Amino acid sequence: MAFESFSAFIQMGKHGFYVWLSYGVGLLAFAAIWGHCLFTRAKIVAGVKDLEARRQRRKTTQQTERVL
Amino acid sequence: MFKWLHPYAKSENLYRLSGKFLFWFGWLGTIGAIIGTIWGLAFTPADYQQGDSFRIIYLHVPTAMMSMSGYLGMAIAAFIGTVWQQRHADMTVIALAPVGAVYTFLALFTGAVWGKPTWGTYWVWDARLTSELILLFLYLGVIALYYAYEDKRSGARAAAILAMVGVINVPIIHYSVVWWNSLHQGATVTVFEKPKMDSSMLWPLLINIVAFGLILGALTLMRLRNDLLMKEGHRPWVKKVLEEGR
Repeated sequence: MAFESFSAFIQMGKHGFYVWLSYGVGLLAFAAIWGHCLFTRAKIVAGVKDLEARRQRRKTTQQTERVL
Repeated sequence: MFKWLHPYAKSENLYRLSGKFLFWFGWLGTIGAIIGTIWGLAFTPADYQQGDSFRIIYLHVPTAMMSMSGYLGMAIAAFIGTVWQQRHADMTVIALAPVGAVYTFLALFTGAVWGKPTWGTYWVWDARLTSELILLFLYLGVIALYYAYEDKRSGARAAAILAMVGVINVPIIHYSVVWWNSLHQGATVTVFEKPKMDSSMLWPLLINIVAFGLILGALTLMRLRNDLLMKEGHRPWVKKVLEEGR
């Protein structure tokens, strides 16, 4: 461990602001792009399931109409 | 010679293969970045001149290196897409571009924040900083060109040409600190020479460089897989892979 205490670790020898700003923005940027990937995927998967459900509904309607 | 490669031109095979790579890239990259960053932040000794502000290096250098490697990868994909009309290569270009843009932005941002306590300024218009800023604009230009066309094939062609032309900027960034007088220091880690850094500081840096490269790959694969699902959502294979939970 390069630091004597936790508060020394946070202070980073007077450079705490710069170090934590860098890593904070870094973490945020990666969280944002990763979250965007997951969000997009969830939306696409929901869209595919919607399409499939509509296909099924149309099939059943056609069958019922044929019976009637 | 490349016959073994042909099955992967099928979207389903590409989707499954990229899923396997995504698993390894994602986990190894994340674990590596956590280890390298914690090691660099808490367990390396402080720099004798810069004190603790030098710890920004463990984010700055990996993102900067990978912003350039990512651009090379994107340009290669653009070349393959243009010459062999491989649409999956075109999709890789647009999958990679936003990830590369984020890396470039982070390299610039952490560089500016590191510059303030070290050089006394956030920004100077010198060769290294300016050429890296141009790299960000190139990435943004590729994204903008791709989405500017209604027809995605035309958009991919235009974006690919910009990606290929822009590759000239990569060696300029790399050699900028050699060719011009710059506030920015020269390379600390090179392939052929002994690094100008003590091994206690070097190891976490090397770990983070590899880890950030893997994460770049993982995010690109995630975006590529999304694109594959979206473009082929009506095909039976999509339903099949989603039911398998992949």
